[in-house]
Amino acid sequence: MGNRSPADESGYNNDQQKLGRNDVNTFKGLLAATLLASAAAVAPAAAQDITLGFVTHAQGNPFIQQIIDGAQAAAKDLGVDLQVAQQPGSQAEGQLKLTQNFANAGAQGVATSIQGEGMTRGLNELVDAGVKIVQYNTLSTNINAPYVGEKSVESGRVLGKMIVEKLGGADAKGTVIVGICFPGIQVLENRSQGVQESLKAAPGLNVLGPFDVKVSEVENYNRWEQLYAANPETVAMVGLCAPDIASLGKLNAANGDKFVAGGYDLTEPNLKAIQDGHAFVSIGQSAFVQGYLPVALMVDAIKNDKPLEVGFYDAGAQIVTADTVDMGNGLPAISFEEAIKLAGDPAATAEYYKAWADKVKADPTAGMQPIAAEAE
Amino acid sequence: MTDTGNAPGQSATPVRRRFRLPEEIGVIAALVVMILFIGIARPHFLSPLNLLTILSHTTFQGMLAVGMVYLLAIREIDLSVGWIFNFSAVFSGLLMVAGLDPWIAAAAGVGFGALLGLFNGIIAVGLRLPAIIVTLGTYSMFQGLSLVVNGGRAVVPPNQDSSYFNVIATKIFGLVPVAALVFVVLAIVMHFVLHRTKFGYRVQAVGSNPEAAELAGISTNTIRLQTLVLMGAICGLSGAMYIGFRGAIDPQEGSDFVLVVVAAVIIGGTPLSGGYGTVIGAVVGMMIIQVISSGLIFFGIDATWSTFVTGAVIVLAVSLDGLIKFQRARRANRVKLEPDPPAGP
Repeated sequence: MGNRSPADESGYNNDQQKLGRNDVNTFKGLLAATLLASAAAVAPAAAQDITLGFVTHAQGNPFIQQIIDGAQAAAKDLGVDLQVAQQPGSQAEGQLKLTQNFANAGAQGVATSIQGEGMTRGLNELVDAGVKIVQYNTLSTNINAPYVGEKSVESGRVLGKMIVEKLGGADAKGTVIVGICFPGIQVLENRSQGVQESLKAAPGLNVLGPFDVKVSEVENYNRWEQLYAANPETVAMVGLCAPDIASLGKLNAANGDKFVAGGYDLTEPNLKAIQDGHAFVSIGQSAFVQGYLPVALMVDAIKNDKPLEVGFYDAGAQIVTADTVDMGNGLPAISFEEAIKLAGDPAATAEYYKAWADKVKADPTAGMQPIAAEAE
Repeated sequence: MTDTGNAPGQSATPVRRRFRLPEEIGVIAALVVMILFIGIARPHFLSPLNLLTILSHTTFQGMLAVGMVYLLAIREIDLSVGWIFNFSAVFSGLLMVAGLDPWIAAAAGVGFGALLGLFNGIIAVGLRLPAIIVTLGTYSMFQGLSLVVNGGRAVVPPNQDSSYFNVIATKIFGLVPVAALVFVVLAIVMHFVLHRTKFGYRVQAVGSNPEAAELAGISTNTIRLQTLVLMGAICGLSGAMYIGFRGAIDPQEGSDFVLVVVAAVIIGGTPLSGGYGTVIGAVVGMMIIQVISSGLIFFGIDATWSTFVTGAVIVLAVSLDGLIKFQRARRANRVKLEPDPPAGP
């Protein structure tokens, strides 16, 4: 035999199979098989040479959908086949299985968020086997793959600073409650650290938490409601995950808008809560970029047959209040109404990001920083 | 014609030597059909690498399913299995972090799982409560204690070059993980225990008719306690092996296991009504779930459709199994009703 690539050695041979090809309707008389066949018929046709997988940690979540929209926009721009799998329970083992399934099915690259250290060994095996892996949204620094996401500690600092300013600056007094939807996830813990660092600027603030407020919308609202019931004197409630602002907005509306609500992500419900005056600020983490850039990085590495270097790509922070909209990444200024429109319109979002995307396509790796920069 | 071996003048009762297909034939057929269908449409699905990956994906939840068969066979369900798995893995991992030899720490994890099972058992038997009620509570207790102990962070043992991690994570011939082999061996042993040992017969007797079992001298309380401890020990084994295989245990890992585990056991043919259980069926049931998950990706089915398709294929697999069982029962009844053939000369 001639030279064998690492992929050959491992058995992950990407040339043997491309996803979405050769639909064959056989075994028509067999019920289970027939259902799979009909399901396959709804799968997108694939004609491209490059096939990529994209694994998410939630299903039916507006923020995750914005990331997927970004990834699909990149696949369309770059002419590759992208398939998405969603693991509804934010489980490390479940996401690793989906990533391995993609690799076995012939995907040359897979982007996945990281739900825990249990994914490290399995993903590093895939990297060693030649599969292009990119982490997005959440990371493990032990995985030998680049990461696209926000500067998590810094974004927490920004959020905390805005809350302190809203409460009156260094003289602010009262109880502030912090909630986290997944205790133990590094990025969220970093945000919490950043928020608490900034809140220390006002020694009169009594910070409670972070409390586990869960990620499902129903549980999330219930947890915040319980926290408010136990601490009715609270002056601010700060969430670190996508569902928090919508929950806090509802809670504030139901209680006469007595506290300052802040949190993350530019989803429609979150922006609506700010527009209606029930929440103060949302820090966006550029969901579109977190979907687009991983796909661009993988395509670049595959086309140029080069490994993906470990590093950090800052997706950019966005700051939205009822008065100001900063979309980050040097993007053009837009109104609050336009921001709401973008939150629910993938085509308009892709158009808005077109100039940024053109730069990325020219050189996706241009913004790489050391991985440690993520937590600075 | 088959020679019955009857001497002239002996009873005319015919002895029909029939090849009896295993009870699990329906679910096995469903699995084979799925694998063949996907494999024909997507030949790379049948690569040894992929099939063995599916086997390794089956391993940790599959172990729990093997234990759950025993519980369903005595008409019980343990809802806390995912958190016994997690807590045992955390316990093992923290012992490793503390410097204990990983092999001893793993064994301690198995014992710890058994202790958690014993805790479930003592409450269930002592208070005469169904295990499903008790474990509804201990589900949260074990989750909460595990989170307290791990501080909400992943437990990552140091020195992963030690023999424990190397052995558990080793792939024989570069393909078959040792953990998967342990799972297969466990399943075989548990199959024989259920169908060939006194304990197994007692488990099925208690599930079939507890009152009759008591009258026959079987202590139903002892069997319930033993089965819950066995379930806990298997969760502990799965957890201890998980940390060896993945090199870490995350705070939320295992939280969604119980539904998949119970689904696999039921898909495999173990009835909720108890009295019977099939370990092979549970293993096949878990493989069906993993094959569906993998098949969806090989077919490139859109993520928004995949949840529906997963559920629908499971329903169809169970229907296929039920159809085959129905046909077999009907054929058996027909044979019973047939008049005895006249005795041969």
